Amino acid sequence: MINFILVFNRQGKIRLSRWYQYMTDKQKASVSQDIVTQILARKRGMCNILELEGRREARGKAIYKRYASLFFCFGIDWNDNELSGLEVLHKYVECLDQYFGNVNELDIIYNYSAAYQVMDEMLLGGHAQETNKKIVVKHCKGFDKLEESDSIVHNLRASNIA
Amino acid sequence: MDFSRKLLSTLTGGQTPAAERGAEDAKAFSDESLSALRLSISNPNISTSAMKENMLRLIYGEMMGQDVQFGVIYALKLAQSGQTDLTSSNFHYVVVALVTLCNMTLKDVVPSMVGHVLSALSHTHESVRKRALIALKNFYMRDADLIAPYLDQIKKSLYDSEPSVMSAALGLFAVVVHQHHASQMKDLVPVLVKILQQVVDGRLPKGYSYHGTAAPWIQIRCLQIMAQLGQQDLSASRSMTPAIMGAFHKARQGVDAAFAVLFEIIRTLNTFHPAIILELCQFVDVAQNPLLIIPKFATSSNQNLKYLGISMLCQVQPSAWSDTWWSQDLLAAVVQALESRDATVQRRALDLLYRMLTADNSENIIDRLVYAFFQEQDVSADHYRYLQEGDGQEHSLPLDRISSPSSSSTSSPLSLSGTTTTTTTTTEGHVPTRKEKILGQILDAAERFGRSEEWYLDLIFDLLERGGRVVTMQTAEKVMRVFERGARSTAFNTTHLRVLAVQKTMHLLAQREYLFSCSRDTGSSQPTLAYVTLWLLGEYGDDADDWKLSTVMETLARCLLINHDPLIQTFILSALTKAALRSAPNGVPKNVTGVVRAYLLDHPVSCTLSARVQSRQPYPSSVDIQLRAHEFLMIAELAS
Repeated sequence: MINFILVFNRQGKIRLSRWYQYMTDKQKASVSQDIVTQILARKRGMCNILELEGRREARGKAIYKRYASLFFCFGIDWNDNELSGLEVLHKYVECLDQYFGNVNELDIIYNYSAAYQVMDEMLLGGHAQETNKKIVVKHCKGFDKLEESDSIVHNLRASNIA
Repeated sequence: MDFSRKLLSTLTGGQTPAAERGAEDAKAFSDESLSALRLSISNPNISTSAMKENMLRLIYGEMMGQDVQFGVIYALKLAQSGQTDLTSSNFHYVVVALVTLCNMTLKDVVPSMVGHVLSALSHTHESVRKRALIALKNFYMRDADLIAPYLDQIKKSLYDSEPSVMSAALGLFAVVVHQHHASQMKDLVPVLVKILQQVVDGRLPKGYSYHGTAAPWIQIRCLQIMAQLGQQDLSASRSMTPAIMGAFHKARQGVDAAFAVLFEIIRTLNTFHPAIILELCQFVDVAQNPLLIIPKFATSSNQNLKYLGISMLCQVQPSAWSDTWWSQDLLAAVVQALESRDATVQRRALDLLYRMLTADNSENIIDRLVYAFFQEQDVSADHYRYLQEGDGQEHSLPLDRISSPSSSSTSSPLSLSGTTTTTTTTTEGHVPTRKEKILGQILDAAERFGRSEEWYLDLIFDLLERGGRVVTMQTAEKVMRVFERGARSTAFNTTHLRVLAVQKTMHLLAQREYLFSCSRDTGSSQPTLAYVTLWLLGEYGDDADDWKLSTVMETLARCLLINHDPLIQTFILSALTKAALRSAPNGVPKNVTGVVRAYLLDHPVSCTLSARVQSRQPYPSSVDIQLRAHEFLMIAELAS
């Protein structure tokens, strides 16, 4: 299963992070710092798989891919299929792209809650639960509409009272 | 999100003229928005979307490092609605509630929720059913017994018409089969075969195909479960193989995700009963022999595929390595991987090499392993303290206790502590680092395939001395065992090994003028070398023809005078005692007993608390040493 997801830029700033295993805040900080430095040190031609060891908490592998200015990194178990993880990663980026329409780093910075929502639609409990791009985006947009309609109703009510 | 946009614009706008002012402005802005937030959040008539906006601002404030404790109570209030949401009629709410359950880590909440989640399994909307399954999987991972009675009910979800629900059910069963008894799940075999066939035939809706491959993730999950089910069972493996070969054919034509499926297929086939793969590896045609795919991966220029190719090679058992698919190109690719600058690929290739060890190429490969061992960075000291503390207590006392004077090989140093196997040990769930793993591999390989005793001794002494913190008491014991029981290599003669070892030790001691390391706390591994060599002298000192036993004992006495480390002294005294037992006709030289007596006089028994604290030992070392010294003196008297 996927143990964590990290999205960070070339300067090492973490934009999104999601942990599917329990870890204290300090551990999370040190593990993410560790991985970020290791991945940023890798060159262009190297393979996208990193083996993590030493720490008891973060055993396993990290697979990562660079899209424009962002690195997307998944931490997976030792025995997991790395290529399939890379494909899930790619699928996630495709979903983001479709939801935001030509996504870039700024979109993720400003609308991080939406990015997390897409992530939750696609991945749950460390596994890919929905790989159909259309359905993922449809559900997310459905939630947005629900919110909007809710606020419209509320505003109407409020204005009636006033 | 206007809020963050404003904040960011103040940050970026402020950078050009005066950076400090920009930071101040930003801080002022965030302070003011925080106070605005405080007001708005306590407004009871707020709408949900405005509440959501407030929550987001709270999170933002938290990220910026501000104090948002006041907002926590509101967040909690919102979160509490989880339970009611589960039974709500609007499916969106149910979905959100299930999502929270999936991410939750609290064990206590689980029992109360199980009933609701199970009823959600038969909800009309497919996204609810899907999430219910994942929530159940989450529960199962926390507490397996709670969900076990419901597994039959859950099996029905495998037949669900919606592929995503079926996939989620597969995920659940993957966890079940992996963690627990595969034997109970054998009835899943026909279902899995059917599912795989359906997917491969392309009967799923168009949306599930990914870059030309039909539902790769579903295929991979099926394969993983099949691997577990077919592991020891020949009949189950046979029944699943045709479906897998079908998937193999389809996957060969694809790209990207298809490679992932191929990898999984090879892994599954290798986890099956060995007869299957042995049968398949004989075919020359790639349509029938899936192993012929491996060269394509390993010789590819894409680094990822190379890595996977070598991983696949590691999984295939050596008996299935036949010339039909092992080609020159493959060999060249493996060698190239060893030299690769990419650390990940290099490590994998090294693992592969270890599996390829035979008596002929052992020296070459072990050299590489040793090189890799010294390249690896050492992990922090805490890691090894974990090991030492666990075993240190048990080792100190029964070490070298003499059993009987006649047999020289029965006094094994360890009886209480965790037994070591030929692979690296795991004590209390301790996870071995790469360096430890390599060390274990080196020791194991050297013992099994070593060609000459001299080479083996050189290797061991070198490792013990330069190995660093990785070389622990456990390593020392492993080495001692080899001397005691004899190596498994056919080239080694145990007696000769021991004799050579003693000779080497004597040379070493003479060179170093009997001084081992100064203190144990520097983390150097020289003490381990000391322990092993002293033990050797004690056990086999009389086997060597070059030195008389008395010379050996004099050497030991000199060591006692020079080394002050308590543990080393313990070893010396035990070795002396063992030697004394065997010195029957000639007796112990007077100067040796003189040395020990003088030592006893210099170090009277003063087992005060402060002395114990100062010496930082887990046991009262001074008392232990006194004990051994007295024993030695008594036996020396008896022997003479």
